[in-house]
Amino acid sequence: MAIGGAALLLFATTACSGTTESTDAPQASEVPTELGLVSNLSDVMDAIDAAGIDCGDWEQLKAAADFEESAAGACPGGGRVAMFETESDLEFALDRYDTILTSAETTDLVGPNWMIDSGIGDLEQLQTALGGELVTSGNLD
Amino acid sequence: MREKLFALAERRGVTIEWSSLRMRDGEYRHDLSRIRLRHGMSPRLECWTLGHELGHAVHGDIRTCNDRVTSKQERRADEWAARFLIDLDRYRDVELLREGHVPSMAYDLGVISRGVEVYQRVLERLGDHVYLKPQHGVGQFAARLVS
Repeated sequence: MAIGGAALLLFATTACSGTTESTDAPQASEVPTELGLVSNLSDVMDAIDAAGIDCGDWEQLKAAADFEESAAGACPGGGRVAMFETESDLEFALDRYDTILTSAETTDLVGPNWMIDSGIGDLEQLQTALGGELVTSGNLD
Repeated sequence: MREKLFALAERRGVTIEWSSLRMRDGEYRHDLSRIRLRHGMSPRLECWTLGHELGHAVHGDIRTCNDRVTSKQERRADEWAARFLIDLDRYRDVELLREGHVPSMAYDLGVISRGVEVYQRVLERLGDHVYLKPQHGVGQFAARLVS
């Protein structure tokens, strides 16, 4: 019984200290978050939605086994989101874009294994919420 | 020309198969180093399709959901096929003979009309010269002919 009481006291103390710390923390909307690695395309879509960009009823694109993306989705108003199985798959794709596209044709918001193109909306707004890097692809030859 | 295409595929380790493809004449799978061609194409269409798919193989193209990259890859494969399949001197003779009539030129050159149109896209006429694949910098063109 004494041990149970101590445990309860410890829990209460921890919970209280947590509450105290959160009082000093900035509001959630001011805190940049990092989406990080994702395992599902809908994780990226949900994050876009939470960032205040309305994609609408997005459509999952058919990505066959030999596609470089593991999954991709399109918003009805334009804009595409792609997910790659690994970070190196995404890096390989970006390198390919640089050799194929000319004259800095496209800018994407790029996370560890996801990519959002500019057709979806304000990428800087999304970057604040999701993290990632704005990457312009294309060579200048 | 068909033999040259097959020889190139063999040198690059690309296998060629015929299949009942739907909605398209050919496909290239980089992960399998394999070209598939649709059964029953005319010789000229098959030659053009094989050239196009070999163009993908030569560039190591990978299929993608990225529209911009896809369209560039398709254009690049078309242009590679046109340059591989059409000889510039022969093109000049045929253009004169057929007075620029594209379907007739395609017949003579052993390609489809699209092949001729793509080839014309990579030609640039400046004065009395016709340039193949002109570009800036060193090696400013792949070939030059007096027209």
